[in-house]
Amino acid sequence: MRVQPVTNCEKAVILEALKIGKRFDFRSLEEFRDVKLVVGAEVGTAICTIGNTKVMAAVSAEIAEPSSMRPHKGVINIDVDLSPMANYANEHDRLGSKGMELIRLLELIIRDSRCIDVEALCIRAGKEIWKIRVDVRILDEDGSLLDCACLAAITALQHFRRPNVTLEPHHTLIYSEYEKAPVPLNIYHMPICTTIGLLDKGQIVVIDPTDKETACLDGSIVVACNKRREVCALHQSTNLILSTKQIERCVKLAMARAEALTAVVSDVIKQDQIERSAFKRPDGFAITTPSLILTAGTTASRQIRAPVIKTEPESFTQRSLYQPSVILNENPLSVGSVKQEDVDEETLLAEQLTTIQNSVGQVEVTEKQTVAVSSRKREVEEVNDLLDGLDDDDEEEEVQTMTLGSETVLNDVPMEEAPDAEDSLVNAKKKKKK
Amino acid sequence: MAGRLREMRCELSFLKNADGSACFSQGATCIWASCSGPGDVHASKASDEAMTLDISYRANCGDNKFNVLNNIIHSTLSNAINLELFPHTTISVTVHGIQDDGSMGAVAINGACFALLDNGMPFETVFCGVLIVRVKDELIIDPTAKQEAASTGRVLFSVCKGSDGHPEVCAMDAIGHWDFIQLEAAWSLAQPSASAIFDFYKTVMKRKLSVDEQ
Repeated sequence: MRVQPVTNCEKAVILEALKIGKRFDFRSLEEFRDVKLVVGAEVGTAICTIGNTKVMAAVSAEIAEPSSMRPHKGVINIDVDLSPMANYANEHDRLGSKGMELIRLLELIIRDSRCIDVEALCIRAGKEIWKIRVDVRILDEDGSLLDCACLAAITALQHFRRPNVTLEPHHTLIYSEYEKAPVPLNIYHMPICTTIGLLDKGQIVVIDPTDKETACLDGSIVVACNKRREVCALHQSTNLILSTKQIERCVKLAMARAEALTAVVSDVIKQDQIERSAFKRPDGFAITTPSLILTAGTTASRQIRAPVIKTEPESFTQRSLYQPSVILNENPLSVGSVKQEDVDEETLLAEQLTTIQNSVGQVEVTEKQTVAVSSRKREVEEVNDLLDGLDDDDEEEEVQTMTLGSETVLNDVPMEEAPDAEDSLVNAKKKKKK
Repeated sequence: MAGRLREMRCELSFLKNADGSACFSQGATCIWASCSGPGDVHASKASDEAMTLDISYRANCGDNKFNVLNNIIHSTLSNAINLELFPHTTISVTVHGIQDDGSMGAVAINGACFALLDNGMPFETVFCGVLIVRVKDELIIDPTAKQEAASTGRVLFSVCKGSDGHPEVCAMDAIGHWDFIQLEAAWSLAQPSASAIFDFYKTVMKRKLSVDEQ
């Protein structure tokens, strides 16, 4: 199927807005979109979201025979799939020019930057090596596809564990995950990719452009660097003549971004290790992708969800610590104070939301209708207080969550109450908007 | 253990570019499904009488050339939707198996139905998928990956709601040795599960549309 192109008036409006420093998603020109990372139950799987762009990466390994030219080194293969889910113009099993560019750049960033120790993947020189395969699936497209794909692939490689191997004379023993613990890959550094759009012959810099902005720009430059401020790759699209000052400015912006995202990846991997260290297989994408999707929409939906799921406020406060993009870009001198303020606000909101949940719990204990009615009035009042602080201009996505399962009678009561709380919260927000 | 359906969760309308999208999970098995169209079709695939179905199931690893689930989803969609309403068009249904913990076929069929419901396709009848495996002469509904690996027989029912409201078999895929008595027992187990899934459909769509109306 064909995609509707950007119309002339749409392009004119976008260009006029960019030249006066404004964007249609209310960002400034040098502001990044939110990044959200989730790792799955299987080792080596990760879903990354930048704005509306969603990419999934999965890593697998098998034993193969090395090439005669490099008998001591393992192999890393990158495979990219442009799914019709991401864009209905994509055909099945056809990459096109965009897909080929994506594969070459990912190979350049992940393989040719030598971020993974390929000599450690050798089992027996000249006979047996590990062959690592990274499958990247594009699930939704809204610009900055390479940034999202690179971050998902790096996270999946960090998350991956290969089976333990023991060498004996004339044969090799491969242990399952129940016999010996799997071994992580040796990763030297994490290259993080940043796409920067350019306008007016490079005079105007547009960071992290969306799909429609990309169609209106003169071109873009892609900078991949790690947190040690080393540039791993530099790629420029279309025909542009740039001065070294312009390129240096882009590289500085990308380096600040790489430091922030490296902290995000490390934090996500650590949290997953804590979950797995209790010999418990985490639920992975079945539980975390709904929270990932919900928080990609608006701030209000994230806060409204908090009373139902207890673990969410903690993870949000931790993630917000590592992603103060606005703070980093706007006023670096007062980073510490602004961070503290953000944390205090969110803890206050979390406390208020826990009081709402406690009031819902009170409804369970007492069976009288009068107490239930009064507690719901309290809920509505507290929700109105919360919604006063929120922007009324937030657009709410059509996101629906339902759970159904055969559970014991004791668990039925909280399941019935929780949707009521959600309905009352959503109703209160709707009334606020009207 | 035999008569239990794992916990189901569903999210709708979260992909920007797809006309209909669903994130559906049963237990730890999770899929993302999207549906776009009806849209324009290439001349080589066009049909003057009916809509062309473009269905693709994509796993995490490996190539996406062909998957056996494409056939059963194609057969089910041909029965559930009146394709003659949209001649000379195509519809693209894509299912990504995000996380596999057993019963991937049934979850993919359910997710595809949710994506079509979110897209607003005119259904003649809703459909769902139920997977039943046989482990040592015991039938298990909605098995986990371990149960599926230990099974000696596997049958995937694609169930439609008949005109009288009762579940009917629309398509079926069986692996292993099944005689008629065992198939009858499996179908008697699948029917209440299909009714539970149909009730879940109704609950989710009622909730989605109730929020829209406010």
